[in-house]
Amino acid sequence: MSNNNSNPPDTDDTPQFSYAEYTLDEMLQAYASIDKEAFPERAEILQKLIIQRQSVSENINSSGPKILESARVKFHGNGTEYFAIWIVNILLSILTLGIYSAWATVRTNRYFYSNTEIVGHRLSYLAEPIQILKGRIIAVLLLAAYLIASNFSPMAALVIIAIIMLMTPFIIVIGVRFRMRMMSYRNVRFNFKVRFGRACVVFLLFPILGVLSLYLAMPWVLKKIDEFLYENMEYGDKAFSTNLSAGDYYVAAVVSSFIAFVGFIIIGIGFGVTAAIAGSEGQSIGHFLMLVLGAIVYLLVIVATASYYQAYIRNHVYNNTKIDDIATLKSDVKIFDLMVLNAGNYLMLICSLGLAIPWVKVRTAKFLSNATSVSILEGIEQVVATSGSQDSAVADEVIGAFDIDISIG
Amino acid sequence: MIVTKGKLFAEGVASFELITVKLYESGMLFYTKNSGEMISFKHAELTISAKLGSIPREILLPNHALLVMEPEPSLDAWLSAGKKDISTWEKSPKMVIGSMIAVPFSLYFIFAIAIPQMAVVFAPYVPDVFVDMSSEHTMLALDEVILSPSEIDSEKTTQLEQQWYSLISTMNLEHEKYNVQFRDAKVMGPNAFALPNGTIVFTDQLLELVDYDEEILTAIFMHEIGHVENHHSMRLISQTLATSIAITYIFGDVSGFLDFFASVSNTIATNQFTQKLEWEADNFALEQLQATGKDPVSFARGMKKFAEFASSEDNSAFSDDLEKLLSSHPLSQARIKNALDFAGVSEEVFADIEAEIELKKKSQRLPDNYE
Repeated sequence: MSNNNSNPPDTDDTPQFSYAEYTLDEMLQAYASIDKEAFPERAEILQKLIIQRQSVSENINSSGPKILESARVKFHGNGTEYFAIWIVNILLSILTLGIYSAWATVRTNRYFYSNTEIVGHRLSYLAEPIQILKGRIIAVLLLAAYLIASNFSPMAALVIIAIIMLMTPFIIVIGVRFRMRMMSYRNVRFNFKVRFGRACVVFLLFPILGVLSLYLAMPWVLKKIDEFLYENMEYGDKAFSTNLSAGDYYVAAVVSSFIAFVGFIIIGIGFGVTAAIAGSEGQSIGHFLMLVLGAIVYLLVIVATASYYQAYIRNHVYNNTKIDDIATLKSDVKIFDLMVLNAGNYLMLICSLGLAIPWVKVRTAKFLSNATSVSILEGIEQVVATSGSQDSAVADEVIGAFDIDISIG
Repeated sequence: MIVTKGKLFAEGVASFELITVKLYESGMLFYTKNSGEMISFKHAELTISAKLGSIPREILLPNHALLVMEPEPSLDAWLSAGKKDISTWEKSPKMVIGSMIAVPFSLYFIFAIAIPQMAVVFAPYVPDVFVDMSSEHTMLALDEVILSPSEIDSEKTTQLEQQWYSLISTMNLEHEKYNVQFRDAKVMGPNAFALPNGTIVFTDQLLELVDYDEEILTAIFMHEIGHVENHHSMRLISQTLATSIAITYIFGDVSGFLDFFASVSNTIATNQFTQKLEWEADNFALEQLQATGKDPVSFARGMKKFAEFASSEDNSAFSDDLEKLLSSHPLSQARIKNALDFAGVSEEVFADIEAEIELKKKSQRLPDNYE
């Protein structure tokens, strides 16, 4: 009996069923003009239809563009394959006195981007090694200037630190812009809108306020930083939008501080008790074992704290960020699973003296991909690639000269 | 001819179509769009991204469309057109195992041999301006933070100064640049150090520790001159500098964890290096003491005082090996032995010498008591 408004016209000629074909406006008009006392059943049916139709049209309005396809992100990389690439690239970097490291960086990034599959298509990494090399040379010169100055004169070092601090917003913005512009999906590049004034507020003023507030405002500052980063990202001509809540940053900060606090109390009690037991003996081997055990527990507490914060904030940011009309993101990182992953990573790195780095990077990428799903919306058909952004041409030109990533990592 | 499937992404939009691509031995790439349009390009016109692992092959076409194909040996062969690239090395077991062996060796060579050697060669050429500025600023900073004016009777210090100035004027070195300073250093404790411009600082606490023993103080003075004459500060600075820069540069790409490894090995390497510098300064002091007619045994006596002082300060649970690795100064016992060997004095004779001096001190001390 429940007649769907999209059904083909009913062959039954009972008049009330034909109401279903009316538009909502027509239904409202019919309901207003109908003689409710003469035809109570019809009026009732019409009323139900109107309510039904109204809720449907509301649903359409709130759900926005239709979802074309949803899928979990897949990472296709393989630890052993990447190890071979990694070790050969390190050797080449050493033998060329570091010059090849720019090419190594490009290969590493390509390996991780191109192995990431989002709803049926891979990401692409587009940077040229020369761009990386230029950025790295600038970074090394800055580092050398700082190191030389700090060795020869503490005053000069202070001046250089101040200059580097003032340059931080600029360096971060062009760095993020570079990394976004070097990433493409379905032959359309990402982008990052350059807003230096706002960057100075977010990366200089807010952190200073955060420190002045004795770190009470820090979670809010971190929220502002994430907001700035995500809101200015673009895919083609479409902007990212995000709706972060400072409350969640406070929850993450308070809970992880609590984990750290409890962890360190446990370490303290452990030390106290064993010291009391072993105190009379005073053996140096027992003392040494205690130190090792303490270091392990310490590391575990750090891992637990950092993993909690990372998982909570990542889920919050992803679940509240979307590319308008293009895609929605979902992250469901399980906090405990991430702790196990990170603790395992440290164990692998320590036992292998760092040789396990490739496997660690690959399994982390797999884990995070698997915890992320993306829904592609129908708007993706309309996205248009932009060469630059909405910045003025002059600004774009100036920044273009710095189209490098001034970083070492 | 190779026939393979591909994904074609049009220029400037995110839409794509699945197409069949035909690759000819003549170097032509051919495909038909779903609209029926037939398109072909020459191999030389394609921008082919390098082969890497087993990621899909990406080809940028002259019409700015992106063609993505799954990697297959025949496709890879057509795309590479006979040219070898890095990916063949990244796949070769020989190359991978070779790298695993060569990486530690080449790192050892750079950090343990090449950079220290470079530091030795370049240190003497650091311009005097830098050396003076560095020394003056360091002295200013130390005076500001942990040093205060000496509280020792200036008659005693002036006497030491004059003795030393006349001593170094007989030695084969630029004696005018040397300048002796005395400071009170409650935090630092007994110590003496040299700044690269020739300023040598003694702390009141050191003078008290060795009981104003002129011979010991002269031996320590010679040790500090050894640091200056061998440009140790500049060598240390250039070594640490070059190492930090090399680490960040070469490992720029690897994760923060290896940074940690690198900085730990850097600390150990630097400590080993500073130990080496201490040995050099020790041997310089011993030779110069002998050359100027002083007794090298007084150096051993000074070291013994230090050792006694250090063991009274802390009883650490760490083993000697760990201490050797982590401390920047060589173990005092080894330095005492080195000095005795140089002087040709046995441990027993050394003990006798010490006892004799103590006895002499006691009889001398009666008339002027400092407490």
